[in-house]
Amino acid sequence: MPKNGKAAVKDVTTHGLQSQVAMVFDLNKCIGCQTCSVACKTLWTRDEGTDYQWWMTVNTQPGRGCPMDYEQMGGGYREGVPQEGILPTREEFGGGWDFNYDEVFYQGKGNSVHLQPLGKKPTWGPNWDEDQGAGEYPNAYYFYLPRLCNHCTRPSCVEACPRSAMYKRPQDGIVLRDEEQCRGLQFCAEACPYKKIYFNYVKKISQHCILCFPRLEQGVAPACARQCPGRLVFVGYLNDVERPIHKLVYDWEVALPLHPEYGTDPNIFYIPPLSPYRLKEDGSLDKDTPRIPMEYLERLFGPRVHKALNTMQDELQKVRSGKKSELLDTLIVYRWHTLFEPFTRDPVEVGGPQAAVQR
Amino acid sequence: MSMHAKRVTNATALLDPGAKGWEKVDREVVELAGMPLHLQTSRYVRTVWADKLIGKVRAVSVRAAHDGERLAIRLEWNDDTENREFAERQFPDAAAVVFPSNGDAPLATLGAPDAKVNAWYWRADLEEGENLVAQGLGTDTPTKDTPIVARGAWSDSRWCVVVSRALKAKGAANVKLAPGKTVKAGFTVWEGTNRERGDLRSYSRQWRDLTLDA
Repeated sequence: MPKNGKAAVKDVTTHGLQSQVAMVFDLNKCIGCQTCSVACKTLWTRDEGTDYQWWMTVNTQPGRGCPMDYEQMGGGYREGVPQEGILPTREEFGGGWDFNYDEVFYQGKGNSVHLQPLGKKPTWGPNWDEDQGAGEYPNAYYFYLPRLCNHCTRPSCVEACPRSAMYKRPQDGIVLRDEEQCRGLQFCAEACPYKKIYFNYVKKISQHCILCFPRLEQGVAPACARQCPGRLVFVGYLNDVERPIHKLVYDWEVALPLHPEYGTDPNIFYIPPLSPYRLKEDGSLDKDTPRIPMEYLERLFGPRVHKALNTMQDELQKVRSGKKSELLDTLIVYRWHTLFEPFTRDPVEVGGPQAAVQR
Repeated sequence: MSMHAKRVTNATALLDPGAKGWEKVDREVVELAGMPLHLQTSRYVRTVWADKLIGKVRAVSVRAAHDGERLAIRLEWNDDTENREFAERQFPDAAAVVFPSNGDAPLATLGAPDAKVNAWYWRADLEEGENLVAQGLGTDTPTKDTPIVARGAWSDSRWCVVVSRALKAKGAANVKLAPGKTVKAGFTVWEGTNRERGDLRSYSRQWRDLTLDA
């Protein structure tokens, strides 16, 4: 250990947490509209240096994701040992495209020139392979996967920083960065297995999703969750046993982390997608085989996905036979505010969405 | 081993790394070594870099001169690749001259909680130099009280970098300089193609005495 008085190995398992804010995305309701992506984008990443940053992205699965092929970029832990990660490039994130707005809108060429990115022709973007999916007609399939920083319980980014510039807030477990301490070394971005850390090439520091903590502090849900037209994003405290997040994750065990094998223990969870049966060549239903291959879902959400989907099917069967399902009622979300409790305040109450983020 | 800063009539003219005046200043070659793995403060770095080369640059040629008002130090080293920016999994090349803030401090750990070091830092992507103060690895922080001039030029697979400061300085952590005075100096270089940044760098293992000619 160096003689600088700092513990070289941090306690990455507890961080002295009092509670943990978590989110659950119900993938059965996501329509890939990107409203969450844009809500985040317009709130947090409008400055130069952040133009290519999309802290919230929605990708079509199966697909290569964003940054491109991030699942092959390493990072995280295997049996507690940090794994080498590749640093994603700006190109792999899709770059930031500048458009010919001036030409189309102000130079009288609105009828002859169409809106297009300027400069080098882009080869990737934050949702480049949207709606491609996999499989052959009539058994083609895809679903949407919204992704943001997982605010992990064992955040490999926090442990990787040699300057202790990153930390997990004790009061709610949000993973934050002290931008004064960050020198843009980007070990965090290498170590993050979900590749959700971006380099601000103007400020020369790294940046990532802050889970809208200035809004949460005022009782307002994160922008991505509150703006979701599909009403599929739950926000709340993981240890709040009376509310949906706890029940979905621990009681019903239908909300699962993405790639649990990465070893960082995410706090963003997903209700895996149900799918229709495959069609046989004669057009009849193959009731033994879901359209989305279970092997694929297992690769994304781990072996617990089988039990989660079985539970969902059982509950659906219950409702079909006229019984009541608390799980399905929870996922239907009859009252919008049940998604966010206790973060139900309207941004207008605290001075509008901008005021909510200005400290 | 002792080095000296030659007394010249105009040190400001030497801020350009290519200035002719540098040819008349003696040079000293300082050997560099990679920063030891066990000193890296991040477990990620200690694990991932266990079988990688740390500190690609193994020698730096040092010249120093002052005019009673300003000290300029010129570092020169071989580097096949000019890394000017953060780009494509690479980092900007950088270098620094390190001094104990007050008499003595450990060089390998970049100071200690009770013994600050002062580093005159140049990085290829920055317009200006940075005046850093550190009290241990991973604690280096820029101070604004006294500016550092830093300029670099790359040609023929070689960096020439000048870092410079007025002898008079305000903050307590800035190394005290005066004609006739001897201070300890250390040298450190980052090679961006080798993804060196933070404490992935090469450094002179020991302090060298640097005497400012009277």
